[in-house]
Amino acid sequence: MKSRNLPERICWLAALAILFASLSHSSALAEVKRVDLTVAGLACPFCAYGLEKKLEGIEGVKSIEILLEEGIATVIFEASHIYPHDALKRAVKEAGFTLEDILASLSGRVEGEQEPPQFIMQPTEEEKQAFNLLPTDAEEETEQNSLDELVKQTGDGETIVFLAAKVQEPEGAEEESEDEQEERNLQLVLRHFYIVE
Amino acid sequence: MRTLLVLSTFVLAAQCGPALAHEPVWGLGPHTIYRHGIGLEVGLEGKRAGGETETVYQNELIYGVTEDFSVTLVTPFIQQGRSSIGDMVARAKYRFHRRDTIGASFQQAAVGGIKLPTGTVAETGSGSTDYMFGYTVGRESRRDYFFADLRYRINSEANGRRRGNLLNYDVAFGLRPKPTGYYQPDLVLLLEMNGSLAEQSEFNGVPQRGSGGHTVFVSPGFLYSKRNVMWKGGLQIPLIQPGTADLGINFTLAVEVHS
Repeated sequence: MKSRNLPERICWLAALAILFASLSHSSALAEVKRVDLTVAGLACPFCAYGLEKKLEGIEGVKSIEILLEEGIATVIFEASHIYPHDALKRAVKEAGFTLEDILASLSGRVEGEQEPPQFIMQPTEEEKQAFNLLPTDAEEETEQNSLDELVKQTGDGETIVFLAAKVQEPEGAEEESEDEQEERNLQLVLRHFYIVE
Repeated sequence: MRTLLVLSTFVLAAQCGPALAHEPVWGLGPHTIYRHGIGLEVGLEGKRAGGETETVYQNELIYGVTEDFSVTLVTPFIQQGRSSIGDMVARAKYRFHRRDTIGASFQQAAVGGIKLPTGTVAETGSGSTDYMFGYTVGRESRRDYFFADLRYRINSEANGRRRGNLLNYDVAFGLRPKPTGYYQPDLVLLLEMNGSLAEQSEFNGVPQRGSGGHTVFVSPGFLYSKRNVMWKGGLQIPLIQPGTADLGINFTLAVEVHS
């Protein structure tokens, strides 16, 4: 077996350390996101195929699961993306069903200095999406799902937060022009959050 | 007798055949296909009467212009000694109302169509261009189905012969004995009642005795699907038939695939 000299060992260890660091950092940014769509009209499997086809056509979709009894379509994404709200809405519509609710699991950071607090997703330097964070609509507000607690723990900074929240459009969104739709912030009604530092 | 059989088969193929997705087997439902979706159905319809069997093979191509508007092209192949193309049918369906709830949907649609004289008159075609329009309504849930439709067909004259105009009405009930998940096989059992009121046919303006009348079939059938493939089949058993005509029993079996 060939022995390695000290400089070569140091290089290998350094390379491993860099690789580990990059994987640790990128795993937070590349965390798989999940979206649960509540869809009305899913009465039969043959019809639901159209929904699967339309959801598959959205960029970054890794897998889809459809639960007919519950009327839920779960979409798992490959890596951190701008949340594709309009694409999800369009997919359900073009499949011939009615979208009732969206529950999304997202990773990003909290900016708590402004009112309302903002949740920022930025998977790349070029892409950025902001959401207005609203208080939870859960029946019991606990320490786990309190908006104040989230803002207090994360404040303003680089902390990555894994957030499960109900996504909704502000009132009057249906009447927006395309330009207005691009500019407006979606709203996240807090359900749960998990902080990954 | 043979001519009557062939002509009645044309009537059958031209208006009862194309059933989209989990619509009734013989009637018409309000369902469309998803936007830009394409469906292909291949199947056969036949009639057994008086010891003779006539068979029509049909190809249907369905396209979803929008999620509420679909167009269908039907190409029948008549098996009568040798195969030949029958009269093609082009049909459009517009779903103008839909009310969805979790696990159920109520829908209404308007339909219209045209039958083109593409078949050879002497053997496989009627020679006439005919028109159809109608209304269909349906409710489906995870457990049961209900469909109903009303269609009117206007037949034109060709070579001195004109079949009587036709009013079709259909009612269908369906039951899913065991609701399954999305990736599992799905079975729906159907029971339909298919009726038609036909005017007398004419030849050179002279009404033809023994033509026209009221016909009612009772029709058990099934829909069996898995993901994007559906098998459908059924029988039509005459309950009411005009005069002394022996309508026999109609049968159909088809498979539909959505891309």
